[in-house]
Amino acid sequence: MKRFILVLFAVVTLGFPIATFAQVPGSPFGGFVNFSIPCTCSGTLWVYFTPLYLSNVPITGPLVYSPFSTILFAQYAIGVPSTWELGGYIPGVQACWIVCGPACCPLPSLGLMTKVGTGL
Amino acid sequence: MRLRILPFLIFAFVPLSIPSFALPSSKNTISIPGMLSNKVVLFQAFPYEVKPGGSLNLSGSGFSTKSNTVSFGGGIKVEATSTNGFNLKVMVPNTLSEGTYKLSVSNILGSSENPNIPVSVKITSNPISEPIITSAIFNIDTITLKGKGFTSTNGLITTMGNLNGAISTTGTELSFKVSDLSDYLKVKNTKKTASLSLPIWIFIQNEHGVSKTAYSVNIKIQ
Repeated sequence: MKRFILVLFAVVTLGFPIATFAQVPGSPFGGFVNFSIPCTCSGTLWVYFTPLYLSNVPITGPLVYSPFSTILFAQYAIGVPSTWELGGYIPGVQACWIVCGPACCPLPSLGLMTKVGTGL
Repeated sequence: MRLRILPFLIFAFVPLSIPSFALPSSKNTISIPGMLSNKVVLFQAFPYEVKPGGSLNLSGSGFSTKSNTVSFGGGIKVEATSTNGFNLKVMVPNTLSEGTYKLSVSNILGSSENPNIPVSVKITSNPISEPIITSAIFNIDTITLKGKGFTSTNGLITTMGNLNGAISTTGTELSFKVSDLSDYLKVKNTKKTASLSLPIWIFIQNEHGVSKTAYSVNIKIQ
């Protein structure tokens, strides 16, 4: 019985953190929002950061927020200029399309946010 | 003894909790990450001008690897399959007469028809290539684009807003002021330092279509 309780305890304490981590793949990012552009075809949001930290070297660049897949954390003010944002992203995903003439055009970005929170 | 099964119990949770970032569904459709799953969407048909019997590359999400129906103006329909869920190669029927046709893709997920996302092609016996930007130079407040296929009236779609009616007299060169772009002031107002350096991405559009990819040029806002 003791062993059963020990196994149950281990599964609950160790299993869930692993499961939660596995739920949101991607590399970490943090940055200060300059401005954002609604992706009028894909329903996503293109957010430009200056600076943008993908490593310890600051750069500038855009990432895309998707209401269909990005997990949103407090303070929920995604893409608002002059706010700091922190989260995870997967590089190389084309997730922003804007209306342009007789079609939509792919707006380049550094990747798709998998999770993001805002510091106000 | 029971402790030996502990690692298996722990990892049993992991596959259950991984979300569908790969997103192939049991319906043989694949949605690209970030897009609404279980919905077929058509974003682009390239090139815009094409001959009857020519081929079109469609971009979107939720295309089927088994069966998609591409409709030209709601009339003539063609079957096509996708290998990756977001690209579809379609042959234009020889029987299609000249004109502009609205495109849609249907499969087991439904139809891509959406009045807010107009995707059309022009069927013509004499197709002309869309405009292409090959270089861009920024100087003080002006961007000069070089390329080919520019016409007497071009629309510019950029990450700093749009500008209609940019004129090219040579067909290979075109200049415009960054401050004339519709969202210039919105971006300028975010400036926290004396000057802001950032790239802008530019598409150019005219009666022969839109440049396939955006051209990026670094600018400085004082």
